[in-house]
Amino acid sequence: MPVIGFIAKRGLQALFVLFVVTLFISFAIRLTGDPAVMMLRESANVSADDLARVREGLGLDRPFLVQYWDFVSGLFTGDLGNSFFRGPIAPIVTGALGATLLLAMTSLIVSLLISIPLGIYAARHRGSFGDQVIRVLSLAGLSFPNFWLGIMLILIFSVTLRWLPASGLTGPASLIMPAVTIGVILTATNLRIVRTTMLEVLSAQFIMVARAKGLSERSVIYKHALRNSSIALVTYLGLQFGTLMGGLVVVELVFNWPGMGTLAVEAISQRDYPILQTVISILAIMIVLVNLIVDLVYMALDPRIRLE
Amino acid sequence: MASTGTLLEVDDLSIAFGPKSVVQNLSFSVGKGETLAIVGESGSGKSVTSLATMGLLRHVGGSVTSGRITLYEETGPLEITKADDATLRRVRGNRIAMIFQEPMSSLDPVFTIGDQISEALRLHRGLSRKDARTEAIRLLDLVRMPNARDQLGRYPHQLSGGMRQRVMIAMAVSCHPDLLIADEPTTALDVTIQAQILQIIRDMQDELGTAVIFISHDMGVVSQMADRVVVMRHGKTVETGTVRDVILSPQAEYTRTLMAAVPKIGAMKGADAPKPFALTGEGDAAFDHPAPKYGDPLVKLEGVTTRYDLTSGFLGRVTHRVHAAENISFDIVPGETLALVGESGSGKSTVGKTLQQLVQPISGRVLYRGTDIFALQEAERKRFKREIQYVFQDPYGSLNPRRTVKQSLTEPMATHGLLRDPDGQVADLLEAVGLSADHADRLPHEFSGGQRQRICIARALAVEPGLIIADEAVSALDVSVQAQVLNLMMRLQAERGLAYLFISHDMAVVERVSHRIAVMYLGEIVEMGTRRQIFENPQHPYTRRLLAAVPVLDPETPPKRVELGRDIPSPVRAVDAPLQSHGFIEVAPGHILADDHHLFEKALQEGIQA
Repeated sequence: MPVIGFIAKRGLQALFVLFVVTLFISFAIRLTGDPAVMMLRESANVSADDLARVREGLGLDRPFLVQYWDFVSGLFTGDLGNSFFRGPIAPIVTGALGATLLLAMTSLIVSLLISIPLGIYAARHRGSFGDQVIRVLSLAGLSFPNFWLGIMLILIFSVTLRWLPASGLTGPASLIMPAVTIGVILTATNLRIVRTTMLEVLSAQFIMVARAKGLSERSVIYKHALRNSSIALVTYLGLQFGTLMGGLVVVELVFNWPGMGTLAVEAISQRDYPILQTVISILAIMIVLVNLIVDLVYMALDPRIRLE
Repeated sequence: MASTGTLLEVDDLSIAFGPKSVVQNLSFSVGKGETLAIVGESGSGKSVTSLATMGLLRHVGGSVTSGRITLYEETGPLEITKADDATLRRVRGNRIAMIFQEPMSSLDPVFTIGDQISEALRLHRGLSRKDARTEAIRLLDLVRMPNARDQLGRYPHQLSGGMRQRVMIAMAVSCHPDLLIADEPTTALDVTIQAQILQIIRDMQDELGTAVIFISHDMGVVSQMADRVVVMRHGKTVETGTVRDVILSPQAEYTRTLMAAVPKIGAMKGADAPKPFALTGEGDAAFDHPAPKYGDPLVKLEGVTTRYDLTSGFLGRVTHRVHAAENISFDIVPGETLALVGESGSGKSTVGKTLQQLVQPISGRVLYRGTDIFALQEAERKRFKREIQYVFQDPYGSLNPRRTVKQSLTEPMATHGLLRDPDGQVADLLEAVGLSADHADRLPHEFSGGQRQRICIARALAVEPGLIIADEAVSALDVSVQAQVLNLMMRLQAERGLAYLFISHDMAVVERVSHRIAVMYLGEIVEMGTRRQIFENPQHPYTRRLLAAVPVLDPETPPKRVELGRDIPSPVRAVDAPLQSHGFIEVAPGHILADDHHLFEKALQEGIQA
């Protein structure tokens, strides 16, 4: 069974990647400073004993590998332990993950709904006025720094027009601006991919064969051409996922969106190791998982890979 | 063929791509059940004409600027050039169907062949999914696809080129079209597969009474397929007539030139040395071809075996091997051309690559003037990379598009320390290959395919080699250009005493240029001898099969029926499969034959049943 063998192989690779990533995070984070010092900084007359007691309370006095094992096993059992400052981690991270996924998925779906039809249009009418407009707009979309776009949106729609809430997750309306900010960048790049791969597929001979069969242009485009060009698009989306997550962190901060990015930045400023390593590990797991899923979708779309 | 009225009429047709006119005032007609061949070289406008007939011109950016294409249906004439899209869709795939040149890229890679055949059936004949499936099986049977039922669920990449072309034909005839347009349907196929596909098209025609427009550059194929011929050049009609008239007594100057450039199999009967084509405008064509001296060989291969590992499974274990070249032994003397012939997967290119040190043999020796190349250290081997040069098939891909001709020519000379007077040497080289010195500063895209192949030959000559490996070096060229390049190669051989390893699938070309021939099949040499021995007295059944499959340029000889359902077997074998290697028997001095030749037919028969 080539498929099962493939999944097993990729699964093992993914586990190895996660091992390296979690080990690195746990180690690197401890190089950034002592949380006990951070916590006691405010109070005067901190003795070495006080610090030691705090470290013991946080479990930081144990050997590194013990702490690492504690953390990794927690990831798999769901017992993520306690934050240094905010109680149990699991509910905090779950809430933030939900908010981040809501934002990511909304932007992704909206961007695909826009970029696929526009990309196809641009490819079919290559060099036309419409194609030029689409290309200029997508270039403009690529050129905006996303935080700047976010700030501009807030200035216009919240501060001046007072139509939309400026920050937080307070209801469907609050989703609009962050999703648009992320979506603009995604759409700009997806549009280019769709246009380029479509152009390539449309010049393939099997497209002419499909036309020669008497199929309508709609069938030719949406059945034969799109299925073939989606192979490249899916690959690209998988690769882009990491960048998307990185972009989300910044945009979440701009809109004070209660997601993983905001949580991570808070945890960094507080030296809250448990939360920070959990957040980063979960993001890493997601990126690895998404790429695994992409490979599987890829196999479903392209028999040449499935049947190798 | 019975011609009871006109089916298609093309009247004064002109086609342009933007401002560029590609077809001018073309007129022809096709009768019901008739086969009309449109012949011409690249840029003659023959493929564009077929797209116009399908009403597909706008998808490649062309448009009909004047004239008419009329299809006479039972319900009355339909003017294709004026029809709306809905009407054209009804006609396409239904009344007029088309087979394209490249079977490798004609099928959508992500759908099963069953889906792709059913598509047209459900669209035009309104069949249900289940009925379409049944009909698809019947159609695949009709094109002699082995195990038709099991093939439906397979994907194009799992099929060979010949099998894909059968699927294309099944798809094209699925709605019993009145007219089938076949655009170079066998150009990309091996010669024995070509013979089968041509047979299938003729069978289809007999069975369904379909008229065919057969577009080709190959006069041999045309003479076997067509009733009438239109010869095109640069978008204009040069000559029209019955196949007999056009081939046996061409009237137009261009047709005569074209016919002179066609290598005809059997034309060299009784001749010992290669013979240049008698082309008009080439005064020096009739030079003496000195016979090579059969003394010390220039190159000698002794039992060269090259295999490629195929890995599979979790740990990437080697489970199969491609037996690309098995126990290959031959030699070439200075001034001699040894042709290596065979079909896809026969290993002929692997032998060339081994000689060029691009792949390492797993056993055997390659001797160049007595020195074992692969026994030497890497640094010492460089010398032999100079001595043995290569000319590739694709003249478009084998020159760096951003380097001028001069840069391309001087680079190998500098590498091997032969550069003394760049301008003078480049000028000499260009002159030697029939180009002029002021071509030196141009870029490859400014040249035609034939000129580029001349530059590639000049590049090979630049380092003063003893042997040039020509791997399908003229296969991609138009026939008149092919003849010129072959003449050039023969002249260079006569002047400089070059030896050639001429790797080709084209028996007619091989007959023209070679002194000796080695026939390869599945990685092994099955027969080897002088050109006359192989062509006039072939012993191995495979050699005979190969020769019989070549289309004969004679409209009066009806084509022989070929056996259908055969595919070229694969040279991939399991690691633990027992090794079967044959010995040789000597039929005549210098003429050797695989000693298991009598097993060949039996193995083929078993292969068909399996």
